[in-house]
Amino acid sequence: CGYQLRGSYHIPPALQQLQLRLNTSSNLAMPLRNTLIQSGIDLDEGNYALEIVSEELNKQTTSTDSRAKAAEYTLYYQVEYQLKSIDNKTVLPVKRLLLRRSYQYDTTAIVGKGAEEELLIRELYQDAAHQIVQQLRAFNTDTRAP
Amino acid sequence: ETVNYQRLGWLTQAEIGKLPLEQQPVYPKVCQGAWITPIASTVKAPTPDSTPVEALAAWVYYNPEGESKLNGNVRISQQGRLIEADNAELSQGQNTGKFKGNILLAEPGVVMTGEQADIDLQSDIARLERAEFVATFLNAHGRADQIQRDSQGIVTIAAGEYSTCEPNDRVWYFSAHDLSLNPTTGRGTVKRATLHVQDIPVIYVPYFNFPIDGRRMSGLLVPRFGTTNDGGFDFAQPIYWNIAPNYDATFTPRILSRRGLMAESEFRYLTATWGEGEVNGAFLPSDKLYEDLDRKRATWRHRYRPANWQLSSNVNYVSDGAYFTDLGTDLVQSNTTHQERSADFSYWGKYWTGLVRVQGYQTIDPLLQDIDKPYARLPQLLVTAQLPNSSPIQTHLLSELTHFQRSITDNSGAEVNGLRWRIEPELSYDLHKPWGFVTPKLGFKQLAYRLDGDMHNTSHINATHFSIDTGLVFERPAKSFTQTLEPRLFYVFSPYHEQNDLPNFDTASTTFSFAQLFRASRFSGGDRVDDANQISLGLTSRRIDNEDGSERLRISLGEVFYFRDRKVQLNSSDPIATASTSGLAGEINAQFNASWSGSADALWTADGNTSQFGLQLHYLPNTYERLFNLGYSFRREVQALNQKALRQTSLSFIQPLSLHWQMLGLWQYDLLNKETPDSLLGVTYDACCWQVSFYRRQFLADVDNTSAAERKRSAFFIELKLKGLAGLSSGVNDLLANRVFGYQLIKPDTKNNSRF
Repeated sequence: CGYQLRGSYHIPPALQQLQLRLNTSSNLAMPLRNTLIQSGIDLDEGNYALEIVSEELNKQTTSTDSRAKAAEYTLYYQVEYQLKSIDNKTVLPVKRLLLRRSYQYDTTAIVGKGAEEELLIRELYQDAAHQIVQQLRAFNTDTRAP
Repeated sequence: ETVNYQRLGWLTQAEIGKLPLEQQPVYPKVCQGAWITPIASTVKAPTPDSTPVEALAAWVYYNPEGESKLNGNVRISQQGRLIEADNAELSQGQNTGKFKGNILLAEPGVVMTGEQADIDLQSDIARLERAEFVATFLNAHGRADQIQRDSQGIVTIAAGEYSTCEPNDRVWYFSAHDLSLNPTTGRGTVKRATLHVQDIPVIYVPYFNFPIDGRRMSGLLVPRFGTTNDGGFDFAQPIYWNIAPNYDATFTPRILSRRGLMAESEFRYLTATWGEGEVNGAFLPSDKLYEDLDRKRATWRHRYRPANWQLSSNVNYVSDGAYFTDLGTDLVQSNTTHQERSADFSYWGKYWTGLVRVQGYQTIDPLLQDIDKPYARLPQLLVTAQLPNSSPIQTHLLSELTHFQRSITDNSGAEVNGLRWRIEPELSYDLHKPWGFVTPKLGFKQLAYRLDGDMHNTSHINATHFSIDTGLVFERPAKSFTQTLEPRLFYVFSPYHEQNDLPNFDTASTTFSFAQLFRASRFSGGDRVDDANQISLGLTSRRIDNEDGSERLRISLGEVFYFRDRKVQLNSSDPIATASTSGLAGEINAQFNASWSGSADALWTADGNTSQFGLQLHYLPNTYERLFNLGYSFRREVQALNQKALRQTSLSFIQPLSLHWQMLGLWQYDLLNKETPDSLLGVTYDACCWQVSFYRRQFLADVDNTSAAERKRSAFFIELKLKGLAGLSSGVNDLLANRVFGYQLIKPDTKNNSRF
């Protein structure tokens, strides 16, 4: 039916060496670094830099129970990134990624629910890292030469 | 007396439209035009003596020894400065000048016109008689008998008028005996002023000061106003005190007509040696609607983060459970049940992180029994370690020692306190290839307790578990997108250990979802060791846009097949889970186009019933003018998952009705209880120099022991803005930011002010 096993990560040759610019205290740093390395990208040098422009994690109350207490929370993680050439010119304009995860809240088990929230936040970072690398695959140096 | 606004640089929309695109100014659509000054506000003006001066006139008499005279179309210009007049007399040395007739004085973003002027060309001191002025950074214009500027750049306007409206449609203006704008402090002050609305004097103010840029300056902040069906009128006037560059405070007297006088305050600090933080407090003595009891609130947050460690605190106190519903200013916290008090010390090493934490909670929900309250961790010591991943062999270690404490005084259960120790080393082999991955993992868990009071009451479990997570990635490239097919298999084996007598200090059931299929534990927290012999099968398909690599659609479906009953439960009284499958869990994420996105998740039990269903639909075009959100949540009561029944819809929208009118709404509806927990409707009228919003909110408060009628609260808010001058606010923005997806993208100015 036309499906075949993926033969390579399809990372454009220009990006196989890439600098990563983000705040090292960001929780995205570790999952993004690992995902880039797993995709065969060398993070030491290169002619391009992946820059994380902004990150924001928000929590919204999406349902309340009959006593108007929170029954469900949704976490929204928004990350903006861009690709720059080594001389600091933007070669891929700022892109925004927005991811969400919901969880059911239980006012009688708030510490355990806090642990679940931490778990979901880790999964959000992992998912964001995966999607950023996926978008790097579409980068075309021919049409977007620095 | 008519003012020549064309000369001051006013261009109507039609005139702006005729300009070349790159010369068109950016201005609000609700304005009928914009000011364009001869020198754009972006031009940098160097100090007067550092650039050459060019003087032109029809007739020039130049006398290097005495006064020089210039007559007819005088034009003296310099980078960032321009003077035009009919006639000019320059002093010896050409440092000062007297100008007469059709004077125009321009600087970056500023224009003044007048009949007579004395100007010191060296120091920029100037005095204009019978003058008009425009300042584009304020979008303001006005006129005065006299405008004076001193060497510090402070502009004083005597007997003048000031407005940020369009000149041909001045909805409001201030006439003041004395108005001064100080660019050094970023503050404007007005003395003996009268506010005119449609030329009718409305308010007389002896003294008033207002911000002319975004700087932090001591003074009055925008007051807050609202009215509620229980508390009556609610008015608060924040007073900001900019103590030092690294300290500031806000003091807010507040009147609630039916409750009493209240004081709120905030103090923020930033130190060079021990971090930054803020302290908040609020006090309402003897609330007339609350049995004359005092109502209080306090918070203290502190962060200190040197290179690789952090010290932080988060301490919150509130006097009673109804405080946030009755007196909360952000309208958001009313659905919280606890107030945290914690202090953390964290350390990040190269391969390990450490955490020492003391944490407790104030439970403010009076209906929660002691047995349902959270344990305090006094203290928690947590170490996690991970070796670098240069090879596929991965190691991970978690170890924790915590003392848990909770007192029970209402006979809702037995009081169990004590120490818990756990250590969880894991070894895995992480093989990633473009076509898939395989991760076998071997883990060991030791869980031990020493409970208080009984030295013999120690118990421990040593457990080994094994899991293998593997997946393949198939691709089918097409012209504009690539479709993937990603089957995934997760097997986990963990033998049963009797845990009926173990306490539950910090553990909860995780929400069941597609993601949960591939997690090794069904609990979050540390008190339970899963008994598992199960296989999860999942299939994910993504549609990836070839143009930019973005994920347009993701569909996932999967199920757990259990090969044994799950005897381990949170409470020993909970029934054993005997189902042989989890039922199907599915998830859809879609980005239909640049504006529309949506997601859905569902869970069907083995007997074919839908036990969970959620749907979210978002419309957010990137013009950021309107939005529409729709949500639906359905949950059947499932005891095994500790899941309570729920059926709710939510709807929110922001919709411009015309150029000036905008409507905004939020409606949450509970289909099970057939009531509206929260609803809000608002309209905004936005004009060039003013804006007014009306909001009506109806919501259910949680007040124990009250009748259903008293749960129904309603509030009315007015927000008013005289742009560039003053306004009246409410807490509505915080509520909407918390409840409406995309709200902060449409109203970025509502984001919390950046700290320092």
